[in-house]
Amino acid sequence: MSPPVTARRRRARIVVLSGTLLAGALLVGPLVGATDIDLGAVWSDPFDWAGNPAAAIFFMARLPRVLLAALVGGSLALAGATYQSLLRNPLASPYTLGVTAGASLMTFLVIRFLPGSGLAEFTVPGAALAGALATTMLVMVLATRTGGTPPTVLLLAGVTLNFTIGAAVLLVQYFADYTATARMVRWMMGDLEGATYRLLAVLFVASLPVWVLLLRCGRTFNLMSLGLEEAQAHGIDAGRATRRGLLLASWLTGVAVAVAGPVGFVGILVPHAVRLVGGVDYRVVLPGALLGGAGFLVVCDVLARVAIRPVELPIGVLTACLGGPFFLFLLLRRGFARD
Amino acid sequence: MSADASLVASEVTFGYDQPLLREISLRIEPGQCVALIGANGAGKTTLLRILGGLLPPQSGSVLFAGREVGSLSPAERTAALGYLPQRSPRAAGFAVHEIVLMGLYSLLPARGWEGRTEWLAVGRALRRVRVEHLLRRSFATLSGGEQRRVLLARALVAGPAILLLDEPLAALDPGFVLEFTATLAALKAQGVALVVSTHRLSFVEALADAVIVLQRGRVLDHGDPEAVLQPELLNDAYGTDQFTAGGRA
Repeated sequence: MSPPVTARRRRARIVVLSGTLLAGALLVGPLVGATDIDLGAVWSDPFDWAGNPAAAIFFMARLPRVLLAALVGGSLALAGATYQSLLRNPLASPYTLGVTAGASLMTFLVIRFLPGSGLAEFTVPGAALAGALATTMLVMVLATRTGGTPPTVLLLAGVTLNFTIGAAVLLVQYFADYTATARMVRWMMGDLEGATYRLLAVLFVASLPVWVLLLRCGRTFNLMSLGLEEAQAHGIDAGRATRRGLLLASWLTGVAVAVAGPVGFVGILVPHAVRLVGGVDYRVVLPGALLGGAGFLVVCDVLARVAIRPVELPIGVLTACLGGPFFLFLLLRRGFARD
Repeated sequence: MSADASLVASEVTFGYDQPLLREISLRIEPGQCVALIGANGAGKTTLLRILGGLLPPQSGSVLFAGREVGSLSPAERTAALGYLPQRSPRAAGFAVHEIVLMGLYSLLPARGWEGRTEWLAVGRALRRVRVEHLLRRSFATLSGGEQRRVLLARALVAGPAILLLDEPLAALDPGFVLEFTATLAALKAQGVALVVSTHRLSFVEALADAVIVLQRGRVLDHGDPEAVLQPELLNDAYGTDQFTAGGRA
């Protein structure tokens, strides 16, 4: 009996594929947009930003934005894969437990009541992150008080909070003026424009340790995806693993939403695409989702910039346009219902 | 296998709103087979879960080789206990070999990958339950009986000292029941201890050294199967009068 293709080889294959996508996207991303620029022109005098507009566009506008897309996309996809394992639900997304609702409420409150400071680099992201984390903690507390952390209880707690906070969000929107409402709607569509190197550094430092921790959870997530009893029979403290994994994934989601708004579908679409190519083993899915999500969102950002240039599409609109048909494809794929 | 590889439960009590198990004590030595029988809801699965460390007892203790089962590390637990759950997981997308391999996860180094040794063990376990031809199949597409065999292979793959089997014969065809019984007899002869919850009394008579009859969370009777499995007691345990009328499961 010859052994099947091992998870290790499948992981290597996925890492090469998604890494190539990311590298290609990072290379092309800063060069295209409302005005295409030539890499040769950029490097002819890369640091004379006053005299070399190509270099200025490349380094000041496009590169931080492309790097932000990569960080946000990778985090959302990794968080999505984590949620799908721990909630044992293939349709779970980083937003299932109400993280977006919490982030939206806090952001809208800042836009509504602190309009002057809303433009500051860290005010809206800080508020959004606080809202996202507060919601996650609330879901955990609700679930723990009502029956522990089995997926159904967590999902119910998340859905309940989504509705409740959603009502508060609508209320804040209703009492906002037109300018503030427009900003709120725009924020909901996802936005990568505010990227700066300082923000990128903060985001990277806040995300890297969580990536490392989650990437080491492949075996645990495999067992957890089969059920709590399965995990516990193999020595895993299922309640602790669930709380830890969801908190880490919610941190990543909160940080990503804080800087880019609630960009949808990345957290569902990318992990599923990775599974189609590399199988369901989380030791393969997690690194594939991180790299693939990063590459995917950079590609989406490029498409958003060039699809109807010089006008830019909001990134969230584009990912939603791709997400719907992808799910239709999954549904129609032979064997989907069977598995 | 160490000589003191015995599993000892003392005065185990467990329940949620109502008690499900009350002061259950038992001892399983290497090479011994203990059968748990009783009507649906008698507490067999709960007892197996507590013996396997999946549930902590509310009072009492479960010791393996003198240590609390709940305090064993994942690797120690894998070497000590193999567990076959009553219900098969959904396991969407996982192939048979991936499911069996999970039985060895805790024995792999922290960041290591399975190698030739693990693949050989997976192959041996699948051969032992005669499903090696299903190696690459998706677990979710197998029949109920095939899934039981694969899960049994996973329980066996690490060569545990004690096998806890929750209704292993459910959904198995009669031919495989006989083969399975022979497999368990061989394991027993090698010193593996077995705790089996089942409704098949013929299996109990064929293999068990001792039987524990549970009724609403209490031990109704226990001892040698031949002495215990009397029609009157079975009537009592299962709430029927069919056993004295000549019926047999």
